[in-house]
Amino acid sequence: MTFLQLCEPGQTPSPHEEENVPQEEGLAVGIDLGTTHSLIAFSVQGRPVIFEDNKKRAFLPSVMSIDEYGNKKVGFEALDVLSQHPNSVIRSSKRLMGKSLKDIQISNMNKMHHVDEDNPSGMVGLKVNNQRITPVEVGMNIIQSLKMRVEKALGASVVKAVVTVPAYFDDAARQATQQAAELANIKVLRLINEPTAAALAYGLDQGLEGLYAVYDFGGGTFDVSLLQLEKEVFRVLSTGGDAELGGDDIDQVIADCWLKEKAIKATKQLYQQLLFLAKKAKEHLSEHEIFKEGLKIEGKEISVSLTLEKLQHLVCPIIEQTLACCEATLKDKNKSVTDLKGVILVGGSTKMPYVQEKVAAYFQKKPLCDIDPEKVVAYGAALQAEALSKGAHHLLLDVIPLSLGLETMGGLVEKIIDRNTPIPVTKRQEFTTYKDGQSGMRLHVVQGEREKVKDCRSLASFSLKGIPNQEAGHARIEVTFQVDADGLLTVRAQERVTGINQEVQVKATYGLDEEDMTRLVLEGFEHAQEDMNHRLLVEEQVEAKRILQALDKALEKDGYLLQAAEEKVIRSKKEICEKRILSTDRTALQEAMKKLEEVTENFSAKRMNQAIQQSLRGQKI
Amino acid sequence: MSKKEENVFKEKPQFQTCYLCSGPVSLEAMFCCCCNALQKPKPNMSHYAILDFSILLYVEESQLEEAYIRRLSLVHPDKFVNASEDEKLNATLWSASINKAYEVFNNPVESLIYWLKIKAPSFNPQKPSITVLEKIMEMEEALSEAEDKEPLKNQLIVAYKKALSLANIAGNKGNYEEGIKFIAEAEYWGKVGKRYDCNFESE
Repeated sequence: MTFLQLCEPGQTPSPHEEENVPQEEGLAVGIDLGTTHSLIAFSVQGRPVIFEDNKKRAFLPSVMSIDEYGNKKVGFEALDVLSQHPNSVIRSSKRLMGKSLKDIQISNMNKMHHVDEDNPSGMVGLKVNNQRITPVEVGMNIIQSLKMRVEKALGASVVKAVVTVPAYFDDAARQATQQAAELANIKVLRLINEPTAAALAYGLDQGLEGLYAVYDFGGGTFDVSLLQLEKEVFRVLSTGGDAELGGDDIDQVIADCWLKEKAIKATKQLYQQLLFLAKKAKEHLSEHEIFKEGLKIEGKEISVSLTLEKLQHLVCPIIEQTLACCEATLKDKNKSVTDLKGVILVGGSTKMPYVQEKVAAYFQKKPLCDIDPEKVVAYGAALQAEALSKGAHHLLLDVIPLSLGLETMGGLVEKIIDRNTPIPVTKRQEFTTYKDGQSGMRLHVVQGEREKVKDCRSLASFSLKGIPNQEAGHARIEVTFQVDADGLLTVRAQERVTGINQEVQVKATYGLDEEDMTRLVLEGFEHAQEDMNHRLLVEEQVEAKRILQALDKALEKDGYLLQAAEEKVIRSKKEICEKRILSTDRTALQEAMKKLEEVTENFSAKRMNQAIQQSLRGQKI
Repeated sequence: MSKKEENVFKEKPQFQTCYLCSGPVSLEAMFCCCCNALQKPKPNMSHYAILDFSILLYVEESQLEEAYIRRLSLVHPDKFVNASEDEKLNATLWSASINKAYEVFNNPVESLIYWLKIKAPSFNPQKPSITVLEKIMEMEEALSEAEDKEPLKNQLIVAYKKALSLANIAGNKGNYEEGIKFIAEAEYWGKVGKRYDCNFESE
């Protein structure tokens, strides 16, 4: 006979401490690696729990400090250093994931971060107290710190995780996030999009069904996703975003406003202090009408203040932009706000009452925030980690956020996979050679919505060599784009005749930054007509060049068939064409090419005739 | 619109060997019946076979949705997280094929073109006749100039739907030539309509 085990009152162990902890294989957790703070959660039988540190704090600030001796601190300890030594602290490093130094300089982010300017190649590096560190390593340290919490509490090791990324993260940033987790000795079961994770949490917890929008306004990114939720099927229809617009940006507008008010010049240290106060003001004004606080600058005491009204005035344009994104995402699927059953709020910035008001007004319904908007992503990630490691009935279907394509002649983009295509996806397209005897081909993979390569972002570039000697247009190069369930791209190219294979997994050497993504989509709409005209012009030019090359060859070979006067006319018309190719007037080029065609008609006939004669001669024995 | 189901010509069963246990697997099967390993999808498998359909002139929306989810839940990579690398790759390939098939059948024009290609193997993509092309060009010009585009857009949607249903009727009668002619017209209306954000799904 066994005794029933009874615990001291109030000390009943949580279910996960006793049962269901798979000791041998280790734990599978959900990790929300955020711009301002990160969370780790674990789910047992569909009940996710967020792990707190020993002081009962759930949120780990995504902050890391390094002192002059190279000692590293993560989270609250690093945050404590901030006020004394702001130059030793790295914040918001998620915004640097997968980006190059050039990207950071263009978007002026090097003011915000301790960027290592001496190292221009590959992903951007950081330099703190003369110690070099990459954003991936910062991510790794944060993940390790989260992992320790769980391992201390449960005494089991964390080996697998579902890690969340903003829906608008590009390939390079996704790769970087995966790398950060792997460096922390965690196998990434799946990268899932933050708004999708949130929808999953609502769908499983509250049994939501119907068409929902997820409005995810976080510390550094804004995502909006449109999802069809059904029993056990969570399906993303379209996704959009605007990453210029995180909570960080709200802090910046407030800080900038104070700088202007007080007419003071910002040092890096002062600016960090102001940002810290701005964040405090923003949170304070969620419950109060006015914020006032003093700070010391070079020994002088000054005070800064902000009213609720002023805050709303500053924030309004930012919210309007997020709503414009929502509009575009709905329109992509021919939907309007009246088709929606509800809107789900995600991310710290949606805690501002003013944001909630504006969202409610736009969507014409009270937004859902029953599950804490700052925790819902971590819950979703934990639920999916449990589902993936133990098997579950539900199905999570997502899409790619931005079109993928290849550069073709004349700097144009041939789109291979359109944005909002469900993943996994495989698409093939055939390309051919442009010149006789061309033996190699450079494949340049780009991401974006615009028609011209220079307006899209470069992801990778590789060469296919050893194409057999053939006439222009005869080789058949098949290019395959494959995007897997993590949203990661693999590109393969094959010459169909010889079977030469080249494969490239697009690597995080040079990423697409999020601001650019937004810009690319928006500009794609604005410039559609301009792009179309440019495309027509370039196509005309490419075609004209091809005809002129063929004519040159014909003249060289069969020029003797022509009388001197005839040849002179052809050459003069040809010269006109050559000049017009260089101009941007498509109609003029078309006319010139037409005239050239007229004067060469006789020449073509003669050549044809000759060819027939020759082939007939050849048949005589 | 007709929902006539065609008799599928059944070929003699053919087999391939399972990559894992070398047991026999029928060509279009997802799983090996001996070891249950997910097979690689056969290249050039028809979109109908991918979704486990017989060859249908018209795939109904509910039927498509049901098959899409049913098939995808069998092979989605999320179900193979702990499987071998081979099976993971096969899961990605199968899921991509299912997504592709869904994309084709979810578009009434593409769906009918696909059906015609199977029914009339000599199918050549055609341009609409000159008279039709002229009508389409006139519409495009009118649309580009009109201040209020809505009435014209409605006209365009009607023209598109008419061509599409004529193509379906012709297909149903076995008159493939005519089907090809009308589907080409529907395709062109569709392309112009897309440029002006026409909602073809509206009633």
